[in-house]
Amino acid sequence: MDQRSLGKRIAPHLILILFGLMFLAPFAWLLLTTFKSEEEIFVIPVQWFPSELIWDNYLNAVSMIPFVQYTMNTVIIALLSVAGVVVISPLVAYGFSRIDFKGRNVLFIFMLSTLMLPMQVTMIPLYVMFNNLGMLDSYWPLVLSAWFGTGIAYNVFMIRQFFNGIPYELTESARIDGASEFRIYSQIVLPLAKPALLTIGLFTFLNAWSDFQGPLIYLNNQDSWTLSIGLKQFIRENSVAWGPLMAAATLFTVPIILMYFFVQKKFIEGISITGMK
Amino acid sequence: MNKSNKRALPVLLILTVILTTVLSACSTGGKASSGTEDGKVEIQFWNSFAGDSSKPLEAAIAKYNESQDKIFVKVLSNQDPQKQLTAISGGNPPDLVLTQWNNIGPWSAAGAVKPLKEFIDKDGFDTAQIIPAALDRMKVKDDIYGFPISMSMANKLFYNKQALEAAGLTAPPETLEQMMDYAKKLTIKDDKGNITQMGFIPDYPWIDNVFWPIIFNGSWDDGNGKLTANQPANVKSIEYQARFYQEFGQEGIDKFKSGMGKMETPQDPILTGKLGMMIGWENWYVDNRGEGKEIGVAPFPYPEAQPELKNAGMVSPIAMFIPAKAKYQDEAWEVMKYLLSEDVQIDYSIEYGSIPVLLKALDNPKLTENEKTKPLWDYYESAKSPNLKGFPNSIYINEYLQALNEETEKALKGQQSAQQAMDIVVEKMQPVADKNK
Amino acid sequence: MSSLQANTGIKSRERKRLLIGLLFISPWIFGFLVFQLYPIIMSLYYSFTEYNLFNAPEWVGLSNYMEMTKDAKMYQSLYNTIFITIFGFFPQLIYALGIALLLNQSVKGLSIYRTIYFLPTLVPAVASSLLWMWLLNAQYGLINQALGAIGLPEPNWLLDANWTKPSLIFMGFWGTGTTTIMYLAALQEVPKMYYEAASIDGASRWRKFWHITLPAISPMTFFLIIMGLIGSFQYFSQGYVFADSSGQAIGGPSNSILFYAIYLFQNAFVFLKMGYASAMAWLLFVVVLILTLVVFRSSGKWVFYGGDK
Repeated sequence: MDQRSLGKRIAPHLILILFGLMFLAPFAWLLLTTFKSEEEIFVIPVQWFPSELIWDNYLNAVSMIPFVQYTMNTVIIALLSVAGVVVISPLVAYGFSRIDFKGRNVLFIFMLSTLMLPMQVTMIPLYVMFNNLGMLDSYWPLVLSAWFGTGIAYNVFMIRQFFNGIPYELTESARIDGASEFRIYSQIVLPLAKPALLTIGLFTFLNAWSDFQGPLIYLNNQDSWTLSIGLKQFIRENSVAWGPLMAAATLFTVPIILMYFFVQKKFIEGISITGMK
Repeated sequence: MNKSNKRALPVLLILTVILTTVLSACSTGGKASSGTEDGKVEIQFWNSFAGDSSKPLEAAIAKYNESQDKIFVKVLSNQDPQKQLTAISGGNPPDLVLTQWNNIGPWSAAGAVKPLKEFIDKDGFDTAQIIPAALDRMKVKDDIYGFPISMSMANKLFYNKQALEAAGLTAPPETLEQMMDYAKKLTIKDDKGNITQMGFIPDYPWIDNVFWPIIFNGSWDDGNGKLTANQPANVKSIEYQARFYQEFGQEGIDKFKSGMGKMETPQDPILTGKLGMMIGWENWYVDNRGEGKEIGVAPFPYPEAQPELKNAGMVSPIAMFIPAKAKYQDEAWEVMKYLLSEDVQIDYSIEYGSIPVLLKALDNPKLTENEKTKPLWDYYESAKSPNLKGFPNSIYINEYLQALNEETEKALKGQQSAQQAMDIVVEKMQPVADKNK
Repeated sequence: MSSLQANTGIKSRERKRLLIGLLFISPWIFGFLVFQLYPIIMSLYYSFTEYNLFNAPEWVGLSNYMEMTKDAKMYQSLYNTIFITIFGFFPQLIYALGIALLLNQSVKGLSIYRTIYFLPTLVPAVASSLLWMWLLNAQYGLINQALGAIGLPEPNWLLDANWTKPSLIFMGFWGTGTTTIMYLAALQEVPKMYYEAASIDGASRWRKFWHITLPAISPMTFFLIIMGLIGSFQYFSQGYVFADSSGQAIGGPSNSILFYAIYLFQNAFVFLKMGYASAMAWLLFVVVLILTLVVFRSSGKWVFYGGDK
């Protein structure tokens, strides 16, 4: 009996570690590669550990592209995107979840359907539009697309699922007390949906961080480029600077790993608050 | 209106206000080109170079900007073809664009590229000074739509000196038949039957549907809209490649390929000798060629029965063009002319490590006696060869190349004969060609 | 008289609800009208034209749609896409749920585990694809070495047309971080008291999972299936990067990883057949919309919201 309970305690860890190693592999590989010399990166068969630690790749990575500036640009775009998304999406989601108006379901499906058209065919008309608005070569096409582009449907749908899970009794009593819809929304429902907001905030940030196509198309000037465009600068025709590229990719990834780590902590706190109800 | 609406309203109002400010605030961005304050015209010059490979171009343009006070050229790199396409189609074209030569065909046939005849006539620009095979790539139905800024060529055979030596081969092969023999001698299998070294892989690093037919004097159209990809020369070129697969086996080659090492890394198979020979471009392995280095260079072999095809090769230039809707076309033309002048061409090809597109520059001692360009010397010479060719440019070029690629792949894998493969391509593409006559 | 009054009462209340509802969703309406409507309408229009991206579109009626019915590559790309949806997306969904259940236990160091399981999603493709090329290498790859060691055949994952799709699916399991996180969030929302009550009744783990957990997270499953369907049918980047980094042309060996969106992209931007590409896009739109509606229709039977009245 004792043995079984010990097994029960260790077994989850064992499985988590086993699978964890698998999931750790890509990043571990990336990190280890950054310390290898060019000779070792492609050795056959694969060599996981560098024979000696080399920092040159990092030095080259930050000197080959204006790293700080690209990071700043990327952060600005990502934060602006998040700011709009976390305000707009829950509002819309509330309308689709909690207010039973005529035509709601049709409109909802309609909204979802905007996600079903591949962006390849809307890209050029969208570019034409931003050109007419005089917004090319600025961050606005990127930020406004994050706020109002088809991605809004994804965010709204997700938050709606959360809102739908909140018991009606919670809001019904407030409604009987004469609270306005907006008050119910902002004071009862929204605080309960903190994990959902964190989730879409996180995803929006990550999307903006790693978006390549958008910045490439809309940003002309080198000064306004983002990190994802910066990464491409290491890949030249006939010669890829693999070592610096891997170092730059690591520098690109570490901030979002840290951010994810702290957000998911908060995210769980947020959830446990909901759990208290 | 009840209370709730009153509450919701301010939020939405604020949102609207934010948006309108946003919209008005950024109406300053946009337009690609504009006049500058000092009376100069500023034009935008886009190129698709990434990282520091745009440096030679930037240096050339910096000199131009200093040399005169009418035009200021702003160079923007990393504007890849996808973006060029979007911007030109979306109504925000730059004034001058540098792109792959095979974009000239479709883009000009679609009306996006300014034909250069009027500029050429106005200035009496001598197009005969450009290497014909490179200039031909800029033409669609005999109209010139752009000029090459530099030229790349595949017309050599690279071989690993040690590998040949070890196999007792003292000189590189001269004919294709010899090359086949060499390939057999250079291919080694271990006791389990796995290939551990190969002499030659015809579709490494990629299936080349242009290079091979050129070696056999093939063509893809007759100049009058009839597609000729299924003529004997083209078919022979595929049969030749397929023979390698018959000889060494599809699965074995594929398996070997996956483990032979990645190109352009220290484990590159042509450097390590795991691969004995490969097609040689002028801008590959520049630091590993010549005396005392790993790689030897020889003219690419020719079919034994057709010695007149010696020194055949494929050219693929980088193109410059002016978008049809560009704002400052005259200025862009001036810049283009500047980049085609002899001194600029020479400097640029030294810095970029390519071949100049001016015939007369090929004999200039600044290139032919420059130690820095030594790996390119025999390329300069062979750039004069009349047997240089390329793929005809047209609106359907990419579709045509894709079809060739798909069917050639099947032929190499032995799923169909070379003749069948090319017949299918012509059958599929002839209607497309007819439509765009 | 009174029933009439009640009627108008209902009507005015309905109208009020409509107004409030529209007010809440107005940011979307605004965004749709300003930023989405024009591109959508244009793409629909292009689908009835011949449009090379530069010249003015030329009306050709239904001929793009007719052409599609005869396009063998279109069918092949559709097949590849459906293949990856059925054998890729659904197994990955179940897998993500499994990992989420694993991460939902109260063990020490959970936030570290959670971060690790999300890591592959964050690593840029340019870096991770290199590792993949190594793992899947036919001659020296870890996977084939393992297969060889236990006497199984060692396929050429990257170059054999029969194995490229399975390779992609296999790689896809590493990219399930987002799905896992969302399942995890949903799992945390399941009220503990349900489990306690079930434990008192002596329900087995399996019963608890089947009768409590699954229904409780069904709204998330619903969301993930809809989004997964939409996403899978537009499967693009992975296939593109895969072909590119294994030195293949777009579409891979024998077009075995030519997916619908990749073929569409090729038509639009490589062959300059935007009209045809738009028609392809709208066919896809209709197919996915129908599938989505089917899932929506069925959802009443298997999706349970805690907020249901």
